[in-house]
Amino acid sequence: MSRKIIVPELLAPAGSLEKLKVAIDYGANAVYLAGLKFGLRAAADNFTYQELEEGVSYCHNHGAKAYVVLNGFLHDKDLEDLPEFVKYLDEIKVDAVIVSDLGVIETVKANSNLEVHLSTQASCLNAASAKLWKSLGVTRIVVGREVSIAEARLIKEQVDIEIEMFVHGSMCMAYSGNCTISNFTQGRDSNRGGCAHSCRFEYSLDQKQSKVTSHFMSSKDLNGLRLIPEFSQAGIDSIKVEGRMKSHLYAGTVSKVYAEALKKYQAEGELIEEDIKRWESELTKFTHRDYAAANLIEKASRDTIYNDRENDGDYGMLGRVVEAQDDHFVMQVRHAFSPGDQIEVLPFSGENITIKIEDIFTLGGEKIEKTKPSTLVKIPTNYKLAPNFIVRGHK
Amino acid sequence: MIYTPYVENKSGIELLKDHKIDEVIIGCKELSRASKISFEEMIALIGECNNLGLKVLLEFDILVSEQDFNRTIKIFEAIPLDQLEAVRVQDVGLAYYLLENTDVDLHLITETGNHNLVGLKKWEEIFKSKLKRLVLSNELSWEKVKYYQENLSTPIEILGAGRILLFYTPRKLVSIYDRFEWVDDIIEVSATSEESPHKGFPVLENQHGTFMYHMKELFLLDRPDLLEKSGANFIRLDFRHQPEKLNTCLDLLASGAPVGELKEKVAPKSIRGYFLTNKSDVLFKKLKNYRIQRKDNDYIGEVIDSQKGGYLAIDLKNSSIGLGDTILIINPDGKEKELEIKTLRNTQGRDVSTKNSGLVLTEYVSGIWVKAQIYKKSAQDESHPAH
Repeated sequence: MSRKIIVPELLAPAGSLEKLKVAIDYGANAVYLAGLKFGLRAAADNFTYQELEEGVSYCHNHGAKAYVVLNGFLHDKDLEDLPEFVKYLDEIKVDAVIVSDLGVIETVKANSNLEVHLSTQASCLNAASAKLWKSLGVTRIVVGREVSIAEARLIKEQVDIEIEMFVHGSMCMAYSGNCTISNFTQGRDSNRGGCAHSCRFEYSLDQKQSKVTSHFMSSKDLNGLRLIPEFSQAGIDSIKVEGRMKSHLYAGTVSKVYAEALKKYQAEGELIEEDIKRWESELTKFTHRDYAAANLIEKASRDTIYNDRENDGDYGMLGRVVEAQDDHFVMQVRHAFSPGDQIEVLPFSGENITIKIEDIFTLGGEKIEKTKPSTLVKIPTNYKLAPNFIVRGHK
Repeated sequence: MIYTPYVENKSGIELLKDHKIDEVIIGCKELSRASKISFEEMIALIGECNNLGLKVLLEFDILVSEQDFNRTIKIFEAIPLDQLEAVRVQDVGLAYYLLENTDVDLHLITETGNHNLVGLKKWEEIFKSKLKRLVLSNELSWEKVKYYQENLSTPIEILGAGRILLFYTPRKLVSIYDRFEWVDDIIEVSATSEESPHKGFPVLENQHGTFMYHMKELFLLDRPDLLEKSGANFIRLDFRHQPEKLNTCLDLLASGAPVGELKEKVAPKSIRGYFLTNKSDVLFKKLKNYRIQRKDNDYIGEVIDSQKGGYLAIDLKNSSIGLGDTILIINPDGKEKELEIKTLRNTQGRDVSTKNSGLVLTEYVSGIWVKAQIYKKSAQDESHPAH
């Protein structure tokens, strides 16, 4: 009998309750989300208390886990409201909190029985560090983005602790938690949610008479899809997708692709090139930078610098299905399209459905020639669709 | 208040004793992020300082990946540890390793984060008697430094003068452009972006990666009153990028020169950073529109379509709505309207008296946009959900 293949958990970003549902529906095993404070994305929608409760229930009802990020480097005054919040998280049965600050860990432990995962923000790069954090009650380490899969395996073997690694998305160029450009140039604390992404700017580099203009601090995006076998063989417990600020299309597509790849690898013990190419193609159909494996196999080289602006991708999200009936569906429109256009509907699993649009109606039954963003339209079809399916289209 | 300078060469160390300096920080290229001297030069310098009676604090502030860990420790172990007063580390893995495997005293560099007393106290508890100093973040106000000094049992140190490190990556970001010159195994360039109001960030690349600094130095020595009030036990002086300034600075301090002259001669282009106050979270309020953020009390749903003269479509978030209910609508621009529900339809256009979830259409309300938030207005409770 062949040995059962264990694959890592797929952990997806949930920037809002809607995106949480998208990630779970499209196959993520867990999501990470933030309350209105204490995280690193002050500009994200984030979750109110009731939304947290709804989000956690939604995850648990779908057999998934919900981790709440408390990974800001908090100041004394920020800690004042934290006990009440962590007690609430414990009450609603959040599966773990993701923390980078020792003061936060102590506050969580003093006020709850929540499991604590160490955020990548703490830049845990070696086994000695993991051993220290384990002694402080941490049960999982999200290793620094500079750690390779081989190093992560060594850390796991030496320390016997759960290991989580980033697998996809934007990369901080700096050691996480070691960048204060925003703090000192824009007055916004990057380590409490105010990152201004100054590393993505184009800079002129000068030395005497020599000059170069480059986005020299901008990293290519991470793409570890091909390395799923390596993650699995190294015993990595969770692979994480970056992007709480990113779109529904991103959350859905990435979750779907990685969920399928993990499932396939678990069932068959290998990934075939044809599938990988198809998935990789899917991963280009939303806004992204060029991809690289960053440090996952070897130290990130010069090829991992992205000297350009973000690539919008060939596809955009046209909207989402909000209601599905036997002969039509109602769609919330994000980007305009017209009769004659071809749209692609992404079911939660399996092949995408391509539909050539013949007619479009308002909810009042009036025929329209072109949809408008932020409206609802009714589209006749015989395909069996479901609410929350994402609809995309070629730009 | 004791001044603690870095030294990187023998010239001038004799003068330090005259300025009542009794400890110095020394690193080497292999173990320190910004040192320019070799391991051998460092060993010689440590010996020299020992001979002069200067206590030596070894800077071991690099972050170390698992694959480099053993090699790095081997380099460290070749240092005569009995000649060191303490070892300064930021990587908590290294610190923990040194705690468990050596007898050296530690200075823990808590410069990235560690902005709360709870965490700092815990570091004291972990490293116990081996922890001789906490090197605090340069994002702290003097009042915060004072608070920590009063509540910690470990002496504390802050940066008094020196470059402000903004960014540290192990990636080699400058040498890929082969037109820049290396000097002493370092490439230094100046970076300017049209997208930033600031110009001329010093950027250095060496064997440990790439470092970006603020274009102005941190200089707190012109506020001796606040330094004194802060209670910081040690004030670090980092003139490694312009070593000639160290003696100038110490001379002026010793002579009691006016603070204006001190600043002018030592750090004319400098800032005080967050030493007066830290308000680096006040701009967060402006990062998003809080009017479209859902409030929990009496929340019903969100407007997802508004057809002039036609209908408002509401996406109900597991809340019911019925004919006769009064709802409060908060528009994205902050405008508020109350509406008594007189018509309710489903998406097929059929009238319904109540709806519990999903989409429902009600009468159009002029001036209400998509993303407006809907709350139930109860007769008993006139309190405003948004307040």
